[in-house]
Amino acid sequence: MKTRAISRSSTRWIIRSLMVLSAIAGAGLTWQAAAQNATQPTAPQTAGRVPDPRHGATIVQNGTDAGAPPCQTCHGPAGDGTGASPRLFGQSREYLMRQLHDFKSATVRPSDVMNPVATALSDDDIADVAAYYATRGEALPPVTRADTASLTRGRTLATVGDNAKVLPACNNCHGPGGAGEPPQLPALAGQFAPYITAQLQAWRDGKRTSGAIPMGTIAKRLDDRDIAAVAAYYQQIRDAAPATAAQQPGTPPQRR
Amino acid sequence: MAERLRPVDVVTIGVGMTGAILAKDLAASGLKVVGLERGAMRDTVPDFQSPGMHDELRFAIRKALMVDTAREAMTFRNTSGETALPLRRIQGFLPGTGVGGAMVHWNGQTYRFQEADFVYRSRMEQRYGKNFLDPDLSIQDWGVTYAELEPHYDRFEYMCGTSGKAGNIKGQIQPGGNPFEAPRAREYPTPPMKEPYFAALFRKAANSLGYHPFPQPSSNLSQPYVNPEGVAMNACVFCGFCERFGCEHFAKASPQTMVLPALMKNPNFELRTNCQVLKVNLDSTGRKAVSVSYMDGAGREFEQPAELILMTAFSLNNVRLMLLSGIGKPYDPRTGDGVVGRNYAYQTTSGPLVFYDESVNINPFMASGANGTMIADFSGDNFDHGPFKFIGGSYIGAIMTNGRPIEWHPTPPGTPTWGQGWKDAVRRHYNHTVAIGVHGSSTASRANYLDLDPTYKDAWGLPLLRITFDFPDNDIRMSAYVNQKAVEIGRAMGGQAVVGGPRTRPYNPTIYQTTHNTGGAVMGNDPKTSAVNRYLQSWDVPNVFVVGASAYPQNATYNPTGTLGALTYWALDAIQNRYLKSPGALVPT
Repeated sequence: MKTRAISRSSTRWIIRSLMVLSAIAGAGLTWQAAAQNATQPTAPQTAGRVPDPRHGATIVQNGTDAGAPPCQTCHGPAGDGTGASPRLFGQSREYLMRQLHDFKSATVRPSDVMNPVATALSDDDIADVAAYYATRGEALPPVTRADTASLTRGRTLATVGDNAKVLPACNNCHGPGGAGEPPQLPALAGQFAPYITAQLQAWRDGKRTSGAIPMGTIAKRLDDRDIAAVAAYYQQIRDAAPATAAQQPGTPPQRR
Repeated sequence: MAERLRPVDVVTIGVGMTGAILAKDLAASGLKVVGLERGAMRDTVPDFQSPGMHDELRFAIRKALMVDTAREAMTFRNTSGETALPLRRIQGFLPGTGVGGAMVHWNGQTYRFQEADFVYRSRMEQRYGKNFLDPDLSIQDWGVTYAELEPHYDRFEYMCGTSGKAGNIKGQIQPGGNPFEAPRAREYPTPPMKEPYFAALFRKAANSLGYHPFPQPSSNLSQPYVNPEGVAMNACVFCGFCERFGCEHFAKASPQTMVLPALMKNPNFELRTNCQVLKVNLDSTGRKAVSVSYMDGAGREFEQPAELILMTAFSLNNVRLMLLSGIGKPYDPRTGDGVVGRNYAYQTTSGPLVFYDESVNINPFMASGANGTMIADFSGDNFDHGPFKFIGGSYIGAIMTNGRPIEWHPTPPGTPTWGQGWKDAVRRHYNHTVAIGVHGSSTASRANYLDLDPTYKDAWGLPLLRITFDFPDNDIRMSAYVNQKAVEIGRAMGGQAVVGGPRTRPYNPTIYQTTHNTGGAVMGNDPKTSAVNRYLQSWDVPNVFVVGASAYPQNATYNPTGTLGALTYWALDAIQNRYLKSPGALVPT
């Protein structure tokens, strides 16, 4: 029964993703074509350059001349995400930058949507967009009605781990409450469950190779129920959602 | 009145590294095995998980994983003319307690001793002449050779998943490894850990001086691994919480991550925690052990009869239990007679600091307990001691195990010890300093030994173990020589200043140096100078084996755990393939 419930929600998520994809494809044939033709970043990140979040805001709203679409199409102006797209708010500038660089390679971090987008962004663009989103965001994803057993399993994996499966607690690396360990490790608290699910599946299936070494090992030890449980658990966390101050360089991570 | 329990085949006294390894294979062969552990059960999940496990104050300063000195401690003095006093806090070294023992909170440095280390007296006298040694040194051969132990080293490393680069495979020197190491049958099970920046600085400097740097073998793993027992381990994430902590990532070899999962599911094994062993009881001849007396956590006393009794506690506790049980003749430093307590040794360490300007960022917090680069050019007998008046040596390396805020605050000489000046200096140097480790051999001498304290008793009314120790002249001279080499490397590393002198007397047990307490129940081929034979079997009571670093006749340059793992498998092999087939003394007296 539970497996079927999960596959239903996965199906819903895939449909939603496809809808977003087709929306992008319809609106942006030109950027996709341009992205495919794009060479390496034309404006390598200037040494000592201070990232410019205002330029980042322009890209988020309007895209770039090189063909990157407006980020807000999927992630919203504040980085709140939609579920099909992840919530960016709460992640550090460094983490967001690294993801965009990883997305330049489909073998490192495969994504039909993000691979061409990242390829169309210069290194300076990436730094600016990351600087913008790292300080935005307000809304949290909806609290879904995951069943109690699943949330309990999710909380166990997140906070305690599973000795028999050689699984350390997620929060060991992702911080107490899943608030992240900036600048390297992403926040999980308040992240959309479909996004967490998709990433864990991608690591498990060997499709995603980016990120810390342990994620591939860990994901292979999770079954579908574990993945659904841990994803549902983190989506509904409210009190440990990270503060924007944590993303300012030189500011220690905030704990609540 | 003690309750007498149903007899079993084997009792292990202590369920740490040696106890868990022995119990696992003996239980698997069909024997009924009881593991008596004075501390509690603990496992990676849930006991080692963060954020609790990263409480530096609780674990590193207040030593939450160590023995509770309110109940049990040791007394200490530098010389036999002094009155020993109890060590009321664990500071100078870190004996563990609880399931997994000290291997739960170790750093993971996993070495083999070299060939000469096992035939130490013979080799020294052969190379430098009989008159070269200080007369007060009581160093001796082990009674076992490196070649005999090699398969057992191999087995232990493959159980741990040790990450390293071989320097010598079957006599062929391997580029990138330690060219001085004794020949090994094959590569390490996993490749070396990534080299951090501080270690790269050391490597460059060591190369420039013509030395032979290599990555330290580490049982914090460089990649996921499944050991021959089918137990899975994870890759280290460089969190910097190894020594004094349990590993929450399943990435550090410990009984929990290498052998307990296989042991605990065997119904032939029974673990009894919070059981304080008081004595091993002998029969009327004094030649056969019949049972173990212990008290459980509720204060009830039990007597557990067993055919075979394995002392598998921390080295110091093995020696104490032999003395409490009357197994073997206690050592007398005045006459030199007796063996139990004899040849207690330690480790001779020092640690220069290299201070850099603020353009060099070390990031010491990205660390693992065994991550680093070192040289063995001045280890053991790897250099000619002829021109010098000492034997032994040290490895030199950049091994920075952590940048934890309470423990890591290097400041140069002249810094105020408190107040704003101290704070400013800590802020200035925290991220711009490299620690060089100089880790050296400890020669056994007639004056250093273990016995029972005449005054102080533990919570069960039994005398504490008394440690009498100071660094022998030989080791002080050795430290002066090798520390100077370390300072020269430090200067070549390009810092602004290199600070740190050699080891000096007196030994101070309130300042942490190392947990490597060895000897006291040493192995050998002569019952007059060893408490156990070459198979770690008691000369006097053949159904007692004493498996610990207590068996080392003296301590070599390298960290002792790898050798203890090899000795454990060596003893296991002797028990399984020789003793059980024909119980009795494996070496005639």
